[in-house]
Amino acid sequence: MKKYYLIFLLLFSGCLDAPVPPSWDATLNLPLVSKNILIKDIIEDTLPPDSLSLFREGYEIDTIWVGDALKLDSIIEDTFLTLKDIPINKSYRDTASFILGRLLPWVVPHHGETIDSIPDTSFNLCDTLTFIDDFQAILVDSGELRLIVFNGLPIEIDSLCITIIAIDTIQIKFPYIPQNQSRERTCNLAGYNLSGSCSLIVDGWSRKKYSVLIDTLDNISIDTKLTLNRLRSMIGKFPACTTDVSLSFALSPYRINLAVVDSGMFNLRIWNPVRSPFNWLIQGGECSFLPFTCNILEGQNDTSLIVRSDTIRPINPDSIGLNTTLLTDGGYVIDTIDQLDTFFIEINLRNFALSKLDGFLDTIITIDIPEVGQFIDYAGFDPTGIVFDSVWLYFDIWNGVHASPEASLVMSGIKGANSINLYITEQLTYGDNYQEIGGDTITSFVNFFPESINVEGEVSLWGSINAESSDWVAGEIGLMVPVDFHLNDTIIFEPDTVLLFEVPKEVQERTILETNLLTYIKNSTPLSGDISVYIAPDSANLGPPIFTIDFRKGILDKLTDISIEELLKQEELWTKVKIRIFPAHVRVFTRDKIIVKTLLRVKTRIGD
Amino acid sequence: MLRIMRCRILFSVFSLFTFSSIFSTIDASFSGRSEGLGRSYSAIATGFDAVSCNPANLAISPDFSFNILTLGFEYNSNLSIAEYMSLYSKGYFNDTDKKMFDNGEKLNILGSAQAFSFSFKNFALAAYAYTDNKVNIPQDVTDILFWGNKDLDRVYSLENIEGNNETGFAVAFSGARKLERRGNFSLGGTIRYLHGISYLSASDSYGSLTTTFYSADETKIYGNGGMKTKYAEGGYGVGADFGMIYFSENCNIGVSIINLFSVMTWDKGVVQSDMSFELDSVDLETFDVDSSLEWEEDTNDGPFILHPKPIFRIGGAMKKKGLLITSEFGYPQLFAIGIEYPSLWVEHSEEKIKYPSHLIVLRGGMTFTDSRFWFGFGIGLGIRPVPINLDIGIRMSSASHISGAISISVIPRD
Repeated sequence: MKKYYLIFLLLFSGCLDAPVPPSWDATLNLPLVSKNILIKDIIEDTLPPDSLSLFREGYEIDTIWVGDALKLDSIIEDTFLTLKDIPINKSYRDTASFILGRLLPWVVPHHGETIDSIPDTSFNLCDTLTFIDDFQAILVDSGELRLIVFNGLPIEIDSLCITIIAIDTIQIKFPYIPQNQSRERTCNLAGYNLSGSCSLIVDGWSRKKYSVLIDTLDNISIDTKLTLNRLRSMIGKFPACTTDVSLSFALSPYRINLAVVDSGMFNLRIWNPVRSPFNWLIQGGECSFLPFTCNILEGQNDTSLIVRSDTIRPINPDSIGLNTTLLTDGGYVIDTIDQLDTFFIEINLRNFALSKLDGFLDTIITIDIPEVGQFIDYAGFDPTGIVFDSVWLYFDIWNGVHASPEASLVMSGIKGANSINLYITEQLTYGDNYQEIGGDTITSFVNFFPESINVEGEVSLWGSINAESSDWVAGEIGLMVPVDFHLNDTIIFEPDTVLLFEVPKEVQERTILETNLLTYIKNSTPLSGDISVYIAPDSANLGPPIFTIDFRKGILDKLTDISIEELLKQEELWTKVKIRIFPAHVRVFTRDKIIVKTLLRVKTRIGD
Repeated sequence: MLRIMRCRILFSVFSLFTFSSIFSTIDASFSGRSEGLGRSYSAIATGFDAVSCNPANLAISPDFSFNILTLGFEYNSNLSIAEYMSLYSKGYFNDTDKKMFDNGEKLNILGSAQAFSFSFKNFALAAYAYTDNKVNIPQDVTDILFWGNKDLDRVYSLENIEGNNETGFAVAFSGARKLERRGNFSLGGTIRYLHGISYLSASDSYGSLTTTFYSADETKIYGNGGMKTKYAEGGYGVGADFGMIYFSENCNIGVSIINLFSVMTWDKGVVQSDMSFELDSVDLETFDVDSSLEWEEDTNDGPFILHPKPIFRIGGAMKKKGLLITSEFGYPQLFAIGIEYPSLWVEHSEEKIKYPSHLIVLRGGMTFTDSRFWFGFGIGLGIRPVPINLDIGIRMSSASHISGAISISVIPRD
């Protein structure tokens, strides 16, 4: 223990004057006995040389690894986007202005003069607007044109009609615009074909008659604002834009609270019909292998992501949602995109093997149990002369999966062209699943005396599951015949000689705080008995046992206080464990057994 | 005579894994100014401080500096010093105390003391003593150590146990030279003699210890394991450092490699052991089989040689309006930055190197390193009544990751 002191000396040396050696309590478990007493071994000699031996062997079910079932189905989700699914959200403005001198050329000589009465007058003017640099032609899916007309003329306008000819013709009328006031109209452009530049025709008239001061530079201005939200088709350079696209793919066959992916592939296939490169950002925080960014060029784009040791934690257990953003800085050449051009996005998850799963199975997954068969060798003996009146079937299956799998087993006895089947279906709980089943069906199966017996079946999984790929199900199924067994004498199990128990100085010299004996007995037989533990400093005279406990059918798990602190001061101790099974007349199965385990638990003070 | 229970087995196994080895890289370049700057120091360390940081800096150092005493320490653990002190004062560890070791035990303590080092013009001589202690005990082993094998049906891993204790002193001589034809460059080097006082390490631990009771038909304690240990009571070694610096009126950039070509030979009182055990618990099923404990220990008294890993540093410093900003990249210390106000900047006058005089100097720094300090913040203070300098610096990221140094020196001013 000096080394332990050294640690603390290292810690405190130079800091404190007088370090105190530390001490603490530790518990040591020292095994004393582990004995499996098989009924088969006890009654071996008493068994009749009949067909009992034919049925006392079980059929071992190969280990079924749950990892084989922890896979996600391949998932392919296709998404289609046409041009109108991509918001453009562009605005363009242009302004046209017409001065009074151009509207009414006859007033030009009167510039600066007051004219008593301007006669009824009308005007018709043309101009050109260019507000869509990016496009040569577009078909608008959603958008609007807003016109704001300001009348800066010295006269009122009683009627104004503005016509815009840009492939399709848009006509907007203003019934009355007072002097120095503006009017606004908006036109929904959905379905309109527009060109990059267009002709503007302004028709108007005024009937107001009163004296006005003529300033030929007074004007009427027409402010146009074109807003394009979405397009159905276009000719031109694709504009810079950003599109949010929400995708999701359904999970199958599991609904997942949490899954750890051992390996898998995440494939993206994208067809880009636009002559413009895109970046595609996939946020997807529900999967740790995302976010993911890929560059999309014109035409076909294939990208793969190898997924290893990643976590899936969906918000909605039956699907994974992906928030994606498609963005581009715009096209580089003139492009023609019609309503049939389509972005095609295919997400493919394949070969996703899970190492851990916390989720729910909506459908049933079955894992086949490999067939195991056994030819029954009657060794020339005609068994038909025997009729068993009671035969039992047992199954002993370990289920290491935190789920409720169901094992469906078929035991087939084949005799020539005839066969007989036993069907066993059992819901398995976590841990040991042992059951003995009797009845006429099973007895008839044995009395059929088949030439061979095969066992096959499957394990079905559904419902809640919390499993790791290393979890497994395995066990044994078999037939057994109860034996009426007379145990006339007490059977004693004990070693040939007493055993030396060297007490280390670390125990001898230290304070023993507590000594206990932990006894665990699992007895599946109706037999009873007792177990005695001897510990003494003299090998020739062990004296009475320091501990004796009776056992019966069932499980005994007991911690008993035994006061042997003084004995542990000796350098050497001698120990013996004796197991006795008392005489009885019992009906047992050959695979029944009594498991006896004891260990000595010493709580001692270290470093004292 | 049949032998069955041997509690000694358990105790011996517990004892075996108390110490082990981590191959060390001792960085004993403590100074009060360096700690306050988060250890971003290789571009500005001057005088005797340049010996262990960057010997090239001697070319731009004051003509004379003398170190009266420098004490430094570094402490890294998963327990704070206060927690250790609380354990110390108790003497007896109750269950609550033992649970403090539930995550195993990691402890690094590095200490250094330097005295009577000096620099004169482009040369310096430094002497310092150091002790470096590292222990890494994984949780399974601390569980066995403090709780015993109380958990049934458990596999205790005996891997990754490491420990090291190395104590010694060193004498280093450094020189530097300006490269006149290359402009503002200088090169420097250090030759170091290392004298080892004691060395103890354990390494390469492996194995496991398994207890079965309920989970199997057998009740057993079985396993195997081992480790290598080295012990020595004396040794010697040499080492060389190399440094280079570019300096200008307001900017320095320095590069140094410490422990280049270093070699340490431990040859006195050497005991090297290669210990292993294999424990196959008694087959209690049949009552008649002896326990099998194979305990082997191969010892070797021959000397062993260690090659301390080099320490690489590249640092920069910039003076601006009385403020000094420093930074440093390196390995194993990854990144550090520091500030000092007012800046103690050596003016690189051609005629004479001038050293500014300020009574109070404040420092701050930040360190980011791989394992020792994840994020450490430094704070420092310099008090400089001419010609005495008192520098105190401390770095810490938490109460269990802390280092500090105090330096008292003499640097005459012009």
